[in-house]
Amino acid sequence: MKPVPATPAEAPDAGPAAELDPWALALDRGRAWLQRVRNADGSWGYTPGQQGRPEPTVLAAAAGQDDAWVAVDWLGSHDQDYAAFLLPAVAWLRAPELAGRALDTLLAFHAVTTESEHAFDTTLPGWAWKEGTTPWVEPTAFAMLGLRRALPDLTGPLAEQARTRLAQGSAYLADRQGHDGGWNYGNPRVFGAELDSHLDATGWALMACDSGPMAERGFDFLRGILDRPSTMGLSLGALASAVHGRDPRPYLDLLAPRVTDDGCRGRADLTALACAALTLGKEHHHAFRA
Amino acid sequence: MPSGPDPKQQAADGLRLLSPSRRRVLLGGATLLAAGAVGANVWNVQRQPPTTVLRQRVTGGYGDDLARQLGEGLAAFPAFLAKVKGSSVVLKPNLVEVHPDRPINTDPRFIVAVAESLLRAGAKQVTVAEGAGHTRDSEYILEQTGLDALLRDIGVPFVDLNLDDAAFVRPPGNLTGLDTLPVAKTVMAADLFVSLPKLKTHHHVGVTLSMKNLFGTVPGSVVGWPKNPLHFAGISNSIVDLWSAIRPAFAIVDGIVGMEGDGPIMGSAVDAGVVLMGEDLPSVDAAATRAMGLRPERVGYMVKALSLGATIADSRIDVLGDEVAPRSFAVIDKFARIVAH
Repeated sequence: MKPVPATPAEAPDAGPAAELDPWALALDRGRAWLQRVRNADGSWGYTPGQQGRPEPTVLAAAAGQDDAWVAVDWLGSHDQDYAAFLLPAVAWLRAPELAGRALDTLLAFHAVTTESEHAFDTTLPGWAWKEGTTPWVEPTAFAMLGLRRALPDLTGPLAEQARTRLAQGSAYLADRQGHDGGWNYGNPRVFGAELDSHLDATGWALMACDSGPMAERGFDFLRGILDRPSTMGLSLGALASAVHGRDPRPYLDLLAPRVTDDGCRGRADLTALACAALTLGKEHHHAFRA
Repeated sequence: MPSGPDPKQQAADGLRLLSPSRRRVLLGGATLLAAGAVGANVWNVQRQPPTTVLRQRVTGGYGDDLARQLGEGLAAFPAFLAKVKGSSVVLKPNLVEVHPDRPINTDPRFIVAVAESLLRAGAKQVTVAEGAGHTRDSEYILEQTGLDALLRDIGVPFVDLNLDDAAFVRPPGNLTGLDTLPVAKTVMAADLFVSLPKLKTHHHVGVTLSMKNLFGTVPGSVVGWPKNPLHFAGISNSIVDLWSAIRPAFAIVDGIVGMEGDGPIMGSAVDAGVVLMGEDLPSVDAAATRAMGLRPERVGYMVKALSLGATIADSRIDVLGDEVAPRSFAVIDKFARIVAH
């Protein structure tokens, strides 16, 4: 990952005081809100007061760099569901035992494949949101991010297995790329019609995939986020850009004002994702890809 | 989903071609002697409780007069309006994804007009709620459709049902075999739950209306996207189980601009200029299907719902309101069998 310039794109000069940096201020606002709404058991719900849920709790681990952001006890005692796929990416060093178990989970997970006739290859393995169902783009991207983080530290058969599964994930993403360069949830074509891609799925897929022609096509679509912004889209746009050596600043500039004292729409998952993106600017750290 | 015409249903369809009085005679006497294919369906028609649906021609499209017109339509349902007074009402539109040229979603102006009508009717609180089946970015849908700003203007909140906690409900027919279905607690906790679908064809089940719209009550954070376990259990089975477990209080179909062809997202716009509403969702959907020039008796999930007390027979639905000549919605080839000739 290329280092991210330390200042917003629109800053008048190169050295604003840190306290005036809109990215840093937004990051502080988001983290402060997340801390305020954290459940007593260490977890996060999607919204304040909701019981802990795996996805916002794992995303919150990506919002801050110190160990306290990883709800080890809560995550260790609850079914992490599809969020387990992402957990190694955000907690590999900070909670190695937990992340190791999550890695086992994602390596053991096999989505349902079929021989049915579609305009895409339904025999390709990937990861599903739920056991017993077919693979989809976002959970596959989550798992690929988890595998990428773990792989440098793996050896022997485990490393080989991780490489094989990562290659399967890449093949799945290549097959499901849409006519416009992006990805939707996972059905690029139905009954002969080319379906439209979605910015959110495209952001995760780009974050997980290798640089190259597939990613270049993906960015052709992803740039649309700047014209049709959302918190999720902008966060993923910045994070995906940083992975492929592109400039995340235009995304961060639009993202920062969306992080208010009440988080992003009062949602922990969105606020955590925004904070993860904003760490690119303040701390030069990628929350999902080392 | 049936793969071809159902001979039993064809027999029942034949009855429908008779005059109402002749039909009554047949249903009252001769049916006792009916046997085989005909008997089974006559029994079904008799057992379908009589219902009322309002078919309302709307003038001015989604313009400023829409809330007033919808208010007039709702006046045809005094029992429902009595329940609205002092109640918390959850409106469930169909929000799927955003495309500038395709009428995929229940129109935001329609949603707001319904909300305003119900607030004027005395609702204590109105909430708009949806759990979109395709994109997970509900903020994107809200902002890009303009619904976000419109709801803010009238102080109506939005709840993303995909992120909601689930209540596990037991569908009486259990057609899916899943025993329980996760339904968003916001839906189950509402005093009144109202389905606000778009009038559309659907490439998997023929038409998507107020019953199919209930897929959005299942939280994606619990079952994943695009609500895949419901597909594995059978889309028609899931529709019927959700309807029978939730039993929404009311449905209002946005047919001002509908979608034909390769719906629910890739089809083409149809200026149908009609709204359909009522307390019995299968009846509303059946009347809406007829307004599309299609045959509800050939729509798999509507037929399946008969065993759970649904009413879809034309003879059992009292259609009030305006005469609206059916506008023939195009369907993809696999659904040619549901086209009324």
